[in-house]
Amino acid sequence: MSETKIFGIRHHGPGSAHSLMLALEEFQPDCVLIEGPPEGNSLLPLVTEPGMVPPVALLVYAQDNPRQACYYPFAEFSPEWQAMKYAVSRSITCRFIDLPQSHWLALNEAKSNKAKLKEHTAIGTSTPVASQDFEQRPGDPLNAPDSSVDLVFEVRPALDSLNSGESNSGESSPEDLAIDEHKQDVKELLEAQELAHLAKEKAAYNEKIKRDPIGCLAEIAGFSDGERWWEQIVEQRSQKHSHLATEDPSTNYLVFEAIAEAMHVLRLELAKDEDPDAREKTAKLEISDDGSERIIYDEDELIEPMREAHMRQCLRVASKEFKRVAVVCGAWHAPALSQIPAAKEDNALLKGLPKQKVEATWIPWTHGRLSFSSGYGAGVESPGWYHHIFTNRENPVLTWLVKVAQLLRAEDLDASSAQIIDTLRLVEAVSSMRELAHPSLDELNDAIITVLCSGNNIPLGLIRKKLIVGETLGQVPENTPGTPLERDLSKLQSKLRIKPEATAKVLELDLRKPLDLSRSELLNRLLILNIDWAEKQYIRGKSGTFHENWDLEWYPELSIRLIEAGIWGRTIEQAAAAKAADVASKNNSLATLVDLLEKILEADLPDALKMVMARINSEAAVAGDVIELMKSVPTLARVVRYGNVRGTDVEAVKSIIDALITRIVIGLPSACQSLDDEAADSMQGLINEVNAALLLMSRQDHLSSYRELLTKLANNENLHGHVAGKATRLLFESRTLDDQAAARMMQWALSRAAEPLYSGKWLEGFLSGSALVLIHDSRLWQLLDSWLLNLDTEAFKELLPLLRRTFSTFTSPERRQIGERVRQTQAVEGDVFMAADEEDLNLERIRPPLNMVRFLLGLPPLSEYSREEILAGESP
Amino acid sequence: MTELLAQVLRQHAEQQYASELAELALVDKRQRPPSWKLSPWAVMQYLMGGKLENGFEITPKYVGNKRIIEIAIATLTTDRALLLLGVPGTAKTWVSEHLAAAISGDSTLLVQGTAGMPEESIRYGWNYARLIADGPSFNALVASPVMQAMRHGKIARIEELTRIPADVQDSLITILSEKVLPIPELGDEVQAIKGFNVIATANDRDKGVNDLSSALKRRFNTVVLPTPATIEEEVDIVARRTEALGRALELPAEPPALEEIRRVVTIFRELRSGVTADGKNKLKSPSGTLSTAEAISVINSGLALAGHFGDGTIKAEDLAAGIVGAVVKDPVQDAVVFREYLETVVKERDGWKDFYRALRNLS
Repeated sequence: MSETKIFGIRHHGPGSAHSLMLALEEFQPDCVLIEGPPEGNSLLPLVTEPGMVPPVALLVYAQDNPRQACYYPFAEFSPEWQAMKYAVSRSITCRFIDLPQSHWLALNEAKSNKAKLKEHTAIGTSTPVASQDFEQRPGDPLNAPDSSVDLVFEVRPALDSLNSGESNSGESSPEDLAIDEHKQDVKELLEAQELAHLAKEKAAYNEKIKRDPIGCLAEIAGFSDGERWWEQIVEQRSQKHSHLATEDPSTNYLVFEAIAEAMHVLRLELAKDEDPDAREKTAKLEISDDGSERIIYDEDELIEPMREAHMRQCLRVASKEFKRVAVVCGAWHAPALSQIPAAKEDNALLKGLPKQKVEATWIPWTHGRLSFSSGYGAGVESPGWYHHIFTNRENPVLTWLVKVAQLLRAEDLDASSAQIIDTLRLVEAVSSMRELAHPSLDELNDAIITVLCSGNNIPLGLIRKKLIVGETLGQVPENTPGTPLERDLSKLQSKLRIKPEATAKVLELDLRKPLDLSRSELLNRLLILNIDWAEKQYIRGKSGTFHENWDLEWYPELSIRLIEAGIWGRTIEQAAAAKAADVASKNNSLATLVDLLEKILEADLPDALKMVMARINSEAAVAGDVIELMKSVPTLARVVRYGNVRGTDVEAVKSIIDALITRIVIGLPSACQSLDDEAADSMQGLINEVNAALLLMSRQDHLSSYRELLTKLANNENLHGHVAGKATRLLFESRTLDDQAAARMMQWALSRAAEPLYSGKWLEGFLSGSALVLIHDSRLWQLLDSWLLNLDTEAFKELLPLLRRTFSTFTSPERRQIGERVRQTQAVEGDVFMAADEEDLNLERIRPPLNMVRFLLGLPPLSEYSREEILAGESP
Repeated sequence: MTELLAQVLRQHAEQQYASELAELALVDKRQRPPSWKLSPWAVMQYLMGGKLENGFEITPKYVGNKRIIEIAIATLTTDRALLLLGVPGTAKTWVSEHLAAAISGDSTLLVQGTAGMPEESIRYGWNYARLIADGPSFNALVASPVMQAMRHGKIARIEELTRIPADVQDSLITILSEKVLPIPELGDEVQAIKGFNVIATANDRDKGVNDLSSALKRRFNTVVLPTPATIEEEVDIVARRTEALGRALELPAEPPALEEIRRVVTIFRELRSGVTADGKNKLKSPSGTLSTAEAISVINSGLALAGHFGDGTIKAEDLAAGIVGAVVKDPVQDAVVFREYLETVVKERDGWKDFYRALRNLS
């Protein structure tokens, strides 16, 4: 008979990892079984490859539908990782023994299909925590519609922690009264929760305890959050144990034995509590559904027993093959594996499970994604700190403080060695006050704020980001099988015939062709995912609406980004949509959302489009800032005008624009009050852009209401000159103001009653950025010219600096052209401009080109007509 | 003696809570740092309150985050001095007094920092009659509270550290780093006995204060006392303090109902944070700090009004004057802010009609 030892660990617990290493060394197993997907077995040898640097994750995904996938992240300090390394480096057999993902994913799919069919049945209450959790987190990158991703550890550690926390108190009760109290508390809590659960809805209760049991327990124990409580009670205690163990090596395994024992008790307790629930649920289902369906529903509740059954079966097989078997699993499962029932039951449980083809690979993970803040529920709050205490067991506190000080110095903050000494002293004083054997991260942070940061806790944010969580990015060896996203991209690349090349090249696309359109969509989607393989060139001119030019250049970092983007989805389209939806949900700025909308339209992501439109609609409703509204109009107008090239539905955008314009027309006059020079400059720019956008959309109703608004602005003398000038100019251009009215407005604005500064600004607004128009629009030219000529000498002298200032904003070629035009006009010394041209006409020389034009227009040649007719441009 | 004490307007912490300190000393079996009257654990109990093993109830002196007080006490066990920082009215002086009382049994070694403070207040002065009669000697020396604390291994308190001129502040550097106060006139020095430390308070709101030099800053551990985190906490503080103060001042009114306190605290919190309590609407904040201490004084003056001129129960009218006085510090801007607050928030709120009317009449 072989010897089997069960090592119940805490996922991502550096303490359990360390104890495990010692215990494995002592036990010398010839086979290591680890809680993990058996699909990953073939990938295990990669663990010790030189290119493999944790944090990494084992990704298991359905072959035909990569949207179904599951991640198992491991860090250097994960006990499972250490177990794998131990086994592989010693060439000992190592196997994953969890329920295969091929079944698990298939079960999930079956369930989600069911759920779609029958949303009204009791299925809602029995949705597993993983997917519920994940549906309720809008920021979650994986939260794509109808994807049924399952983050395994998200469920497990929550329960595990509940239990092993209990375990500890149970285990140490004879020696410590305070811990005994904890146990009481825990019991009381369980009772209290039991009551609450009876009072409230069962579903809500289940969800709560499963989502954050540590939180509830830690609260009772007086800790600020669950993770700290864990750290203190479980990790520190196991450190104590392992300390004892080093004195007497045979006791290394005792820790795990004790944990398993405590788990056993807890499981019995919990089973008692849960029994009525289970029965009630089953009863309900029996009434509402026929037999065949009941089995499927039952599988939701049976998934845990099934996992354990599978683990036991693997264990049975291994114990026949090997002599010394070590099983590394979450503490919660330890009792289930130590008492092995007859194989018959397990076989029955696992019989006839649905199956699906799955693939597995290693992907790089980051410490950031291991942490809570990224929405990875099973994460640890402080992976960087865990890594530190795992790798610096000798003196974690002092080395940590030195790291902090170095970081602060790198950011130009004071952190002297003397201060480190003082911090260390305070850490020791505080932890002895708090009666802790080892200072935890809390004590360190408190001391760092007090001593190193002089009470200011802003630097702590930096420390948290860079050290406590850390920015470590894992690596996988080159011979790792590809990720689904990579495959999808290479599939698309060959389908669309664009190869990734390291040399830059230009890709010209004609969006009227389906192939080019798909290419453009792919590139745009990649841009949303931050994979800037291609950069879009800005194209001027009339072909811009259906032409796109892209600069293509593939560089190695993109592969990493591609892998990183894997968290958003398993296909490029899905990932881009999920990322866009995430950005939209996190951004409140209307301008950003509108930008995003344009990108989404270009990338053709209908799923994300709806979401972003809804966001724009709601943000536009609450946005009080007219400027914000105005900024979004040009983009939306472009979408409406050119959106049809891509065949997108733009009706919804139109209604958003309608609402926007109404609000702008109401809000703009007051927004234009009391502007300083800079604000006025940007305001006139916006007024101009909105005007251009409205012209682009050519909606008469909007244009006329906007012109009314402009008239109001132009006639308001209290406005900044720049804005009033611009408004007048736009009205003049649109011929709402005739020449005379415009001339009058100009005279008023430039008259002596007006402040010189106002006049200058007005003129700047009136002429701004349009020297070319001045050169080519004779109406405008004459208006300005005659105004200038009619000035008397004194007024001219006064206004000269202002004019000079305005004209200095034009480029020098423009100014030269203006000068030339002035000279021409003066050369003929007449005010009848056309007459001068008339004199110069050479009928013989002008006839051939003119005839050509007539030929093109389908008119007869010109020879016999008089010169007057030619000049008038009339034809018989 | 006890009768005389009862006549005193405000007792020192070690007098007022003498029985608590004595009980704590009885049960406190933990290790005490040199010269400390209590162990750090017992000091903690004294400040945060709780029930002792023998059933004796300790009243909480500081309502708030326990971790802050832990850090403060732990600092005093090291050789670094403690600097309590915070906006006015966050119980800095209160905490420092109770810390000194619990650690040294003496909260009177106090230097009040002022803008025109001379160096003598921190170091030592001379009794000139003695000086002229006998020449320089220890007998002619007038020891500052800091010097006394050094001699006896006690805690010295310095209030409003940042108001003290920079050059005078710097005379603390030697005291804090070398733990010695040289007296060049006598060619002698006073060396601090174990247990000596300094608790300084400073507020970071005042403009034009003398910021600490980095040399001095380095000798202090800074603990920031925040404004109360939740409304419950703040209501609790105000209720506790008004009750205690009302007893000390022998006000003839009944202690106010918790609901009245909650309303005052709500107004203060909303205006302070610039957001309504439900988090839905943004508000403008007035220029004053609107600290918890001010809320306490508003309630107290309300109690006085109700007791002496009203029917003994506190009403909206009794509180209104105090609230307006606390909020409107700048007669122009703050008045606008407060008016806006009244019309948009107070007016709409259910059951606040009396408040609205009373405040409206005054502003």
